[in-house]
Amino acid sequence: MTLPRDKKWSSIPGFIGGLTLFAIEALIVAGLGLVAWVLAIVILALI
Amino acid sequence: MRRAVLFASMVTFLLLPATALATEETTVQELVNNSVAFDGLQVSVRGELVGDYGYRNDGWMWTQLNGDSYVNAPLREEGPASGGNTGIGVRMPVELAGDLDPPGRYRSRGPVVHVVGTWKYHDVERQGESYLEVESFTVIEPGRPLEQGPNWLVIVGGVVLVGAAALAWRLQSDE
Amino acid sequence: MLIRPVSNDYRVIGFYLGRIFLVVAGASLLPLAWSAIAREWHPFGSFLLMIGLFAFLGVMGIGLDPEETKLNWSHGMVVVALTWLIVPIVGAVPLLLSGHFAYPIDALFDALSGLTTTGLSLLGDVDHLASSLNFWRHMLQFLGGQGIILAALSIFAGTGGITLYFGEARDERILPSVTSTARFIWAVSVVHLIFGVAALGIVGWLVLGFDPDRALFHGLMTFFAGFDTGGFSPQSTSVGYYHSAIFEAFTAVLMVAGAMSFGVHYALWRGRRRAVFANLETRTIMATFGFTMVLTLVGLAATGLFSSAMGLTRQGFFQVLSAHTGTGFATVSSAELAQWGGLAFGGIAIAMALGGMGSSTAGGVKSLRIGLTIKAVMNQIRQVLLPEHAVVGTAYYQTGRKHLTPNLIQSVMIISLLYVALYLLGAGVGMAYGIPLQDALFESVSASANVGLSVGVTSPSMPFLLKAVYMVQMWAGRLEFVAIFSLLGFLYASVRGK
Repeated sequence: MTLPRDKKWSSIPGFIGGLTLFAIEALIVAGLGLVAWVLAIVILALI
Repeated sequence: MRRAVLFASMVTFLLLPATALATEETTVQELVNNSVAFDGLQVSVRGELVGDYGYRNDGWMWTQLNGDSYVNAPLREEGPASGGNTGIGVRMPVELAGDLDPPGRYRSRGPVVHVVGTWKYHDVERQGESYLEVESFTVIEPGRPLEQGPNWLVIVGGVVLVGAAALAWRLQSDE
Repeated sequence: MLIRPVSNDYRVIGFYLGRIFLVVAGASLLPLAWSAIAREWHPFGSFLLMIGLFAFLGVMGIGLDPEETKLNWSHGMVVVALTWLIVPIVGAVPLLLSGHFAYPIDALFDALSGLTTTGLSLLGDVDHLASSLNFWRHMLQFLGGQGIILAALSIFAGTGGITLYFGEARDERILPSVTSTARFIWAVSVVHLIFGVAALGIVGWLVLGFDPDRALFHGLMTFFAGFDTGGFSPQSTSVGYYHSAIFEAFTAVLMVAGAMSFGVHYALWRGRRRAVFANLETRTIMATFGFTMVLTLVGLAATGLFSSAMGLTRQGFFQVLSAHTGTGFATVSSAELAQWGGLAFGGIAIAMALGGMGSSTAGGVKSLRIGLTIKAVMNQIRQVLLPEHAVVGTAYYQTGRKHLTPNLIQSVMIISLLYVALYLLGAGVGMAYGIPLQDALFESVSASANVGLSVGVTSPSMPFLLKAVYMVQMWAGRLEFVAIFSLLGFLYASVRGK
């Protein structure tokens, strides 16, 4: 069975694209962690 | 008489702090279930070292100490499958670790040890981790290999089924 | 009037099942090879038997050779529902033969838990489990997270694709064809495999002091369970085993990546910022994460369980992230988690119940439904407050501008209500066995939302019926009900149809 030709098949992340994606996600987690830390400081101060 | 009473009182007074430093004999299960109650206490526990020996750059070696039924009755030695593992993280100075037998894994029963150390519950210095900081330990039983040979009946069954599938595929292709 | 299925219907279903089983048989060569390389000959035999079963069933299925191979909606749903039943049954064979399970049903429980990326486990003595079996458990989570159907689609392109894709609870078309979407998803997974395993492996080796091969092993297992928001772990103390904030940080990256929809992955990669930040799902999940984070931190601080900001942050943040993404990794023991009462319990339980984004590996009600429900409620309130002839906007953004139609709202609310009913059902059965409400509800939500966090209810000694209920919950939760109702309808029609 021949697979249909798909013009968008080349639209997948290469090495740099992949690294960028991973780095962005790491930044998101770091940002969320920072927010959590600030929340923790505030909450401990209030309680 | 008065001197004797005074002397006895002084000795008792001097020895009182020792009761606070007394090591509490407990189990891994107890430490897991009643973590907070043991916070900061010196405890002694028995168990099997499993997993990995992580020798870190800060001079500590981390591993896991299990205190469940598999310590005494490994599965590979006809022990019953009786629930999950019960383990705690332990760390000890690298110098103390010395030359340990391989930790418990598929092919090995790790060394069964008796450790004495301080239980740290939600340790502030380690951002809330709970673990046992080992001060001394003795090896009760050295580690030993665990064997599990192939199950030939199962292998034959697998070969037969794969063969049957291949034969059926061939017949279908011919059709 | 119910129409009884005809012979071709059964053959079509069998044909597609056959294809899928062959794909799984092929994938099972990986753990077989692993066991041979590691010289773990007992598991080797088990994997060979499993491959034989999948291959035989696969060839038999294909051999049904239906006259008409067109897959209609009903066929597709039945194929999906049966795949997610039969694959765990056969996939449980190596687990059962390992000797690590007290009862056969426990092995099926674990296989289903793996495939549905739940992560609840009845396995005994995981710390002495063969590495190839550990690999198979984690690979089940990878297969289930990516979608077995997706795997099959990547290989067998064309007919049936779209139906099967939707049946597996994916409703996003990122690229024009289902095949190219499937391939994009696989590409994203490979990217995270490479970078995730590299990061975790390097941390394991250089920071944690593991041997390089062990560091790689831990990295690979954590990737499978983290990116697929499954939650299995090669050691019994879960991620708490590593005692490392940096290891947890990289694990958190994988969890977040796993809970993001692949549409958002695409938008992030293409630099389409609006597509990311205007996305209803993104906004909803940010809001619910913030809300559950605050609840949990306040709860933990109030009970005095953590006295330092860093401790509260690290433990609270990780657990809420693990719950909300539906991963189920734990840095604290089940016994301790059971003590996180009050607001902290509320925060974690709500996070689990809400779940991750749609078209991701996460479970739960999902942020798209939450967002749409909130939007519908707000619209209703606006409608009441504004003048009678005022027009309330019904647009929302999700990989493009869309409209909130009554049909959409209806389907969103039905599925959401079904999830709530499932949560309550499991809780009810647990309470009937004397388990306290808090624990019963927690475990039920964990199973239904495919999270895997446990307060200790899940154990080999739990009642048979409760095990069965949790299995049904995991299955139904993963497939979001539609495929299961289709299967039940098909079976009923087979018996009672005319």
